[in-house]
Amino acid sequence: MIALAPSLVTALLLCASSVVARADPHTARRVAVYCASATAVLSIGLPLIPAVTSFALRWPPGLTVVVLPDGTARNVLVTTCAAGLLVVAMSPLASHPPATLARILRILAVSTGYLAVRHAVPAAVLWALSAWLVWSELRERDEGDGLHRLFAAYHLPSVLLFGAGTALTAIGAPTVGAVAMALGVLIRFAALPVHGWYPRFVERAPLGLVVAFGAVPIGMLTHLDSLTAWLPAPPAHGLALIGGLTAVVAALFGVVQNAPRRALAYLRMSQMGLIVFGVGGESPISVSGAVLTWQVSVLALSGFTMTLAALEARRGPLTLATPGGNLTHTPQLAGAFLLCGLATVGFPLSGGFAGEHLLVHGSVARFPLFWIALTVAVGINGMTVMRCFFALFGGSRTHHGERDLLPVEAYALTLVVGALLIGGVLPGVH
Amino acid sequence: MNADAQRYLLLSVVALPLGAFVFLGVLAWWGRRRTERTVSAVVVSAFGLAAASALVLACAAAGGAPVVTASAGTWFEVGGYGFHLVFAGDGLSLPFAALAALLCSLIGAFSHRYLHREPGHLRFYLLLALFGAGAQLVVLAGALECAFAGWELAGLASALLIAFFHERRRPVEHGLRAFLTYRACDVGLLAAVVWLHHTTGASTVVVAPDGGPVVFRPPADPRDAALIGLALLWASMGKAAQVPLGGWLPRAMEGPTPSSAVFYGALSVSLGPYLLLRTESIWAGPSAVGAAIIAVGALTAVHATVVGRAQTDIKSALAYASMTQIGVIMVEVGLGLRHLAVVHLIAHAVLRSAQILRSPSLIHDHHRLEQAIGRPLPRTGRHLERLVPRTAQLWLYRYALERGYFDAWLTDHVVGGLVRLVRRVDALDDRWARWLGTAGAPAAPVPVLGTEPTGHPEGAETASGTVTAAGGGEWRP
Repeated sequence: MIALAPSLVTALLLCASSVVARADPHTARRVAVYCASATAVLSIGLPLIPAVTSFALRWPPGLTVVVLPDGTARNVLVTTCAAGLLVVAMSPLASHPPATLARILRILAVSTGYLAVRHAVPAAVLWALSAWLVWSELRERDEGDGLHRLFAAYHLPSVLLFGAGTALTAIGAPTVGAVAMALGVLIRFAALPVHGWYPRFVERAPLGLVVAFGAVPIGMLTHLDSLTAWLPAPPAHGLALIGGLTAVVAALFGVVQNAPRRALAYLRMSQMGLIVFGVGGESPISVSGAVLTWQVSVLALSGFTMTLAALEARRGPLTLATPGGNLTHTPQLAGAFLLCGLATVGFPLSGGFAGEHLLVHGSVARFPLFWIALTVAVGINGMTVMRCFFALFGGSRTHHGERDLLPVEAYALTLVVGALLIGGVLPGVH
Repeated sequence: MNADAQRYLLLSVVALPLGAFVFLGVLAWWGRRRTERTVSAVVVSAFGLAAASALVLACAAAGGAPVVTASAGTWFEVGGYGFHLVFAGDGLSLPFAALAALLCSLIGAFSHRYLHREPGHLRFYLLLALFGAGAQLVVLAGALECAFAGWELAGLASALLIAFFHERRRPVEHGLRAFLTYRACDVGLLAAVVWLHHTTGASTVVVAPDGGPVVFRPPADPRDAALIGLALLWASMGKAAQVPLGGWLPRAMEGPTPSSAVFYGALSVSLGPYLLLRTESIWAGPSAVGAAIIAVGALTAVHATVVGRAQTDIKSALAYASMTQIGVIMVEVGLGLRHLAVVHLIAHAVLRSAQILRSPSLIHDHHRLEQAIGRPLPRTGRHLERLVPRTAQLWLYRYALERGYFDAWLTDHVVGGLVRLVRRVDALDDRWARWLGTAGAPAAPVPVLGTEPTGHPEGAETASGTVTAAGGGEWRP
């Protein structure tokens, strides 16, 4: 199946990336924001036209052409485009030069490319391509910390496993293939115990890149439905348990950190673990919860991550060891940080509440004791968010001179925070 | 009054404070400046109207009108599981809702002068509206999920108001401490909601056949009921500041006096016993839950009264006095003295709120009184000193000064041990990642890209932070 709207979005992002790569930093940012806004408008506006949503062309034989992907993938396009807009609007110029911004757009194009071509072989190629794009950025930035080597040490096996899984599935061994693919996915999701690359990646890499790379597996999740369908029950149960364990352990690791980026890494890991748990849980309620959690997570975690990036760009190195901020002068930044963080951990009045509630509830029958650990993980993640907020925006009389949100940042954050709050009232699960 | 009018009135009790919060929140986000008078008028009017609605319904209920229930629809639903926005007004919830709205309205009016020209004036009212909406959600919840949503909102507003004077470090640390305690206990409520729904298929109230208060349907198996009851008790212990989790309450007095009055004198600490009263039908069967509630309440009452006597500042003394009374109310709840508990809860809320509001001027009056009579005011409580042996007095005094050692025990041994262990494992994990990244590569200085190199064994000063009880038991690096 080929979906035209994601193809158009992909083409737009690729065109913009080639312009951005050659422009000066300010022009690059402007072009990127225009392009991301256009993709967001497209992804939100097209589903509102009935003729577009019902369009389907079954020609040439064996290939279906539609304007929009169906089912869950439709929301994936919107969330990916919104996250993309947030990333390009909020990436600090100092740590995100035009080349990096262009690479971020290409990674986003890979993500929407998944939605354009719903087939296993292109998915495997795009999977590898996204990893390569990130690796090449890290290698260019190599400052002796070996981050690109660490990244390659995990992602080369991930790509190989995913590719081998795809090939095995194609030649008629879907069970073995699904297990191989699941292992590749687990590495990409930084599940325990193959998570070693992730905290360091979030600590050292540009945060825009982290968010964009995090958006890629979202496309992959649309394939996870079929992945779990092929997986026999024991491995699927194991997949869910690994996800749940990751959620709990990462939550514990996150709350004790003194470096905000490292805390963020574990918070992201914990959320990804929850999503894997929900998808592997097989109960319709937990799968719905996982899908909703992932949609909210993309927006909320992206907002949380990018406000942290903006604050870091304004203030320099940050620490959670002692409260050292003053929110009086940056109320919008502080408000956005708190709202996105709380939405991430499923606070009431945000979309995440419905998702995490369903996720926990759906797991009760299948995991009679483990669901309590999940509620603990959700609670601890809330502590991490609040600890970050209090440490970064309170406890100091001094004002470091940082300014509040720039208009372009306020524009992107207003859209995302608005979507999270509206999603809180109308979660869209019925 | 017809049934529809009653339903709209009931919904308005929750919707008005929530509407005020949303209105002020949108203004705050866009940085639109409004006068202090406008801001306070919005909140005071919202709570005033909500109080009027609740009072009308309470009067109707006192006149023998049937229980009012109102549904605001289904928020989300998957398969057989749905989250229903149901509210219930009965003999228990309506007086409490009226009290909550009335107190919030009065505090709002009082704060207009008290916080005049305070930089966080709008923030205060925003949080007061959020708290009021959360408290009304808990009080009027006809589904346990609604109560959970309100519970979380009230906790968040409470923590943010403790940290209201955010330019000082202490309020921020104390706000965080309160939030951590709340969040740890909220897990109990979430678990209770999920388990109740799982075992009974629903978590909404049903109207009792005799027209009495609405009740939750208990699970068929008494063990499930006991588990849910204990989870609810755990949730209540956090909000009601019961032993051993009550260390946040005296610290919470760092917030503005009006918010201390309405939160820690009146409503917030009362939500714990209220939740137990509301869910009594679930846990009343198994005797273990009742016994646990009595034990927790009695321990708290004894502990708080001993510690409260050694406090040297008025707000801490009042905090421990609140804790004592809430402990006694918990005992009443556990004993099944439902009506006594409700009357005690409401009376305590009103009186303690007034006492805390009065506290800033009390010391001034105290000095004037001493000057007028020409000598220090006589000490009270001598009868207790006569009853307790001298050696026990000294031990009790030390116990009171150290606040029962609970905070030190919690932070050093319970949380601290876990934190140290997790940090050690994290350091090992990071060492492994660095080895993978640099194996076979030439050694080079590790640059910092917008962050400090924490989490490394070498960066010991930040990576190996510990949790100590020093300085009041905060998290310290």
